[in-house]
Amino acid sequence: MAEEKEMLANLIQELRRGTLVVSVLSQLQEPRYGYALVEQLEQKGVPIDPNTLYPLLRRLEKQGLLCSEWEMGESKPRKYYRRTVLGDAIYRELKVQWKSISEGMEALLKEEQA
Amino acid sequence: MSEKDKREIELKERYIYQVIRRIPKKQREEIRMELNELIDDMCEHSSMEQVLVKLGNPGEFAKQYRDENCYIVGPGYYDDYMGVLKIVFICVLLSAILSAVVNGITAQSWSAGNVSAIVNGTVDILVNIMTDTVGTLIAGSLTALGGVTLIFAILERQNKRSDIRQKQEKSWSLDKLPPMPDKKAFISRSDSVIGLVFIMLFGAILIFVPELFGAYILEKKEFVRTIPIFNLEKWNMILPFIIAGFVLCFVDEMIRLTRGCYCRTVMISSIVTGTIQIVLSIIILKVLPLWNMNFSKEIKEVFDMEFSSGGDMLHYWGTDVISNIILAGVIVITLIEMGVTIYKTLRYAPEQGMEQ
Repeated sequence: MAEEKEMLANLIQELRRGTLVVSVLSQLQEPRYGYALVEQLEQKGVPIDPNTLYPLLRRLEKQGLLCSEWEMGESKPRKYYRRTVLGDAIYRELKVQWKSISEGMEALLKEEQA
Repeated sequence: MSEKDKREIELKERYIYQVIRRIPKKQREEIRMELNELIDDMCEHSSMEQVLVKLGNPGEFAKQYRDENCYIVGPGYYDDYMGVLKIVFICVLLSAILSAVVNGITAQSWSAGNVSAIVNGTVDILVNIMTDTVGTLIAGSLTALGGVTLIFAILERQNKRSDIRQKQEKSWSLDKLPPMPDKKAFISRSDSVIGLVFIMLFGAILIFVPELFGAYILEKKEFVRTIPIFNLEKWNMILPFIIAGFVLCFVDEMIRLTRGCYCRTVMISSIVTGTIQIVLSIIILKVLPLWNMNFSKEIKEVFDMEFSSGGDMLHYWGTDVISNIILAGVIVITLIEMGVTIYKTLRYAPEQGMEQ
């Protein structure tokens, strides 16, 4: 039973992993710092663990999809991320892809119900 | 600052340290700042303890930060690695038992006297054999594990490099697809395995019980001792060369096993191994004092024999004749093997020979 639960948890995690990049990119047209992004995504019903999000932000920055800047003026230093021009272009492409994937999936799963 | 604040800051620092010590040095400072920011933000709604528990195991956290999977031996070689390790461990076990038994029996022949001594001796010898086996087994297994891992780590690195090179070449087209290797280009797995086992057992005997190569002296059907054909007094000097030769053969055989068919890597390995093998053989046979010069004299004394005829091998003991014959044999066999490998690579796997 415990094994099944673990397997299910892994599969859910894998399923969500692919959507993470799109969800993160979608929220970063305006500069945001990490934890604000965590809260925002959670409010919108797409929760993401901070220990997944922070490394992901770095990776996306390394790939050139995001850029970051430390804001030192506030009470404590904060790192703000936002999409680059490349990030904008990729995000648009990913949105199109996502649409077709979700439509395809929708159709598949409906078939199963009928 | 209150005691509670101090404690929380200390906890936070401990946590952050555990994450950043696991990631590359260049990124540490920045990630430390990021984590400070994150944890402070999270603490606005919950306690430090709750936050750190929510963030979970710092080791797992750090893993997310490392983008590349670091392998010593990756999935591509894993099966071969485990396979070779199994063979190697079985051989280590066999040779450990063999050498302990031989040493045990040799020891017995000196202590054997009356019946009770033999009975006591047998128990002692069994204990000796067991402790000897365990000792050799532990040392041998660790060496074998290290050696095999090292070889596979090198193979893995090379593979990664050729992967990168292929990626840089970018566009892949159908004509870059290598043809199926000719059936005759496949290297039989069982041949390689037999080769590995043979190399290891033979090597183990030469390392642990070189006296097995010799004339066996029996008295009343009891084994007494052997007259070794090798110069065991100088064995410490000779052995490193022999071990080098065996290690080389072993690596070559392993490359054959993991590649599974003739290709450039196998061909180069065969040429390099063969050449060094010949050089080592010349050193061992012609430069080093390999033979027990007293062998034929001792045989004459113990067995009361005379070797006068020209057809008798022992007649030539102490001269260069035997070394020369063996050396010639080694060179011929090595050249034939090299030739066969080169021929088969160029004949049956030309594409693999050029590109891999």
